[in-house]
Amino acid sequence: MDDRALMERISQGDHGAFSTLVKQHAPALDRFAVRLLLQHQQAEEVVQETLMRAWQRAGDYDAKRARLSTWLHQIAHNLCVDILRRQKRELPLANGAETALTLPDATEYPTTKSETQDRVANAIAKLNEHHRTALVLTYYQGLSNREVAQIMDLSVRALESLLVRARQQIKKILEESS
Amino acid sequence: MKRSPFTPPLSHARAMDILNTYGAAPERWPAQERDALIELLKSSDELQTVQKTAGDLDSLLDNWQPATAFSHDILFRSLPAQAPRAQSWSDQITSLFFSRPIGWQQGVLAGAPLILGFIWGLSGDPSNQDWSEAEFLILNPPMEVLADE
Repeated sequence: MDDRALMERISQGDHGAFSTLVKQHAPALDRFAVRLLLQHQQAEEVVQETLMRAWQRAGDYDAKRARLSTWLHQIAHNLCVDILRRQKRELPLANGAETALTLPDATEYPTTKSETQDRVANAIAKLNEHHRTALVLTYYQGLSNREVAQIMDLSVRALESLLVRARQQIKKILEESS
Repeated sequence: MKRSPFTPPLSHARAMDILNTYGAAPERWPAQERDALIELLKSSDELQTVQKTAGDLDSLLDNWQPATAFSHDILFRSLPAQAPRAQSWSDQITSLFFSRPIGWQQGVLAGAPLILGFIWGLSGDPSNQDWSEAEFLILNPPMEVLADE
């Protein structure tokens, strides 16, 4: 069943179609939210809210404008940004504006086990919201550059600029920590 | 080197940018430039070195595979029994004015009150338009009004 047919059935209240959507997209959305928020509980809430919105607004989905995966990532991204900005307001600005959007210490992050994983998780946690989002969507979520640009509401050129700087920063942080 | 007629040209500088932006793996490169970059890599030692450096960073990033434990049960337990909502009139009106991009229909609707007001102002009763005349009449009532008093 293609994206348009699936969402049409969901818009008519078909629980079976919704179950298909959850099975197909929830794991990827969860990985995306975990990588952006670095917290399982908040990530799970984001996924739940994303899927609920997909259920409620299924009739708004336009297959001509975006793949379903892109549309769902866009909803999840907006929710994650809300959380990250709320955290920014609540966290003390001890390290200046650039680090204000970074997350709680990733050494507390429970899903990484090896030393390398910890180092990478720490390095990614030190990126600001835009750099981290660009990297996670492009690198880990398997979306095309155009789709990522659409999700982040950027031009492809602006996205590429973010990606170059994100990779440079990660490399620098990893070199310093080794 | 003979280029495929379907492969657009790619500059050396752009090839470097792609490797530094998207990393070493072809599946992450922009689809429309992938074939050209693969071709260019075959003949450039410098690009191959950049690709290798990018690949080293990719390998580190690949290490980070956080486990996920999303419970589908939680979602299904909280799924409302009712069907998804139909778009309400208020939503339709809101989306008419605030959805992007604004089409000509929305522009006409948004500007309609201004246009109607302008036309109404032009076509109104001329005797009511001249406020200075009205003010003059209040301050200097006609003789018959004074005579009634």
